[in-house]
Amino acid sequence: MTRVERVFDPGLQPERTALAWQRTILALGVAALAASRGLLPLFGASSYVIAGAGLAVIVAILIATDRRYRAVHRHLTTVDSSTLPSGGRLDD
Amino acid sequence: MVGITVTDRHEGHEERRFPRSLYGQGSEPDPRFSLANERTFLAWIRTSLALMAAGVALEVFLVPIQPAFRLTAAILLVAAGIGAPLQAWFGWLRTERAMRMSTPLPSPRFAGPVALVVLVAGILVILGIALWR
Repeated sequence: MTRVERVFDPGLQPERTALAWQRTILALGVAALAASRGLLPLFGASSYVIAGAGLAVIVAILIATDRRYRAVHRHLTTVDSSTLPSGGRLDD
Repeated sequence: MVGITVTDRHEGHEERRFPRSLYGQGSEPDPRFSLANERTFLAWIRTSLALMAAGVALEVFLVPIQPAFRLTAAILLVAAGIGAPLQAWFGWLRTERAMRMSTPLPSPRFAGPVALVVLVAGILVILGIALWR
C-alpha cells in the first residue's frame, strides 16, 4: 500500500467511491459464480470455464478500480484539486 | 452555485474522458460531487443485481407459493432489474451534465417505474402466499 500523506477530502469521498466500486464488483462476482453454478447441469464442465472467465473479469476490474483510486488520489492531492481525472482512462 | 468551480487551466486540453460529449461541455464541478454521483450509479447497479437475483431465485428454488403469481412476480423483478441500469447510466449522465452546466439536478425519472414494478411484484408474492393451498 502506498504511503498516504494526506487525504484530499476529510469526508473521504474518493475512498468511499473506491469502496463502492469494490462492493459492486464483488456483488457482480458472487452473482457470476452463482450463475455459473446454475449452468452446471446445462453445460457440464464448460461452466467451470465460464466461471473462470467471469472471475478473471472481476479481478481485472478490481485491479483497475484500485489503480483508478490511486490516480484520483494522486491527482487531487498533488496535481490539481479542481478536476477529477475520471472515466476509462488513467491520464496521469 | 455552491461547489461549482470554474477552471481555465484545461482549455485546449484534449478531452480524453468518456463520454466526450459530456466532458467537452461546461466547467468542472467539485470532484466530491462527481464522486457522489458515481456512488449513486454504483448503488443503482447493485440494486439491479439484487432485483434480478430475487426474480431468478423465486423460480429456480420453486418457492412454494401460487405458481402463476410466482412466475409473474419473477418476470416483473427481472424486468425491474433490467430497468435499474437505465436509471444508473442516464441518471449519472444527466446529473453530471447538470453539475457541469450549473443547472438544477434532474429528477430520477426511471426510479418511479422501477419502484412501482417492485411494489407490484411484492404484492403478487403476498397474494401467492395467501392463495397457496
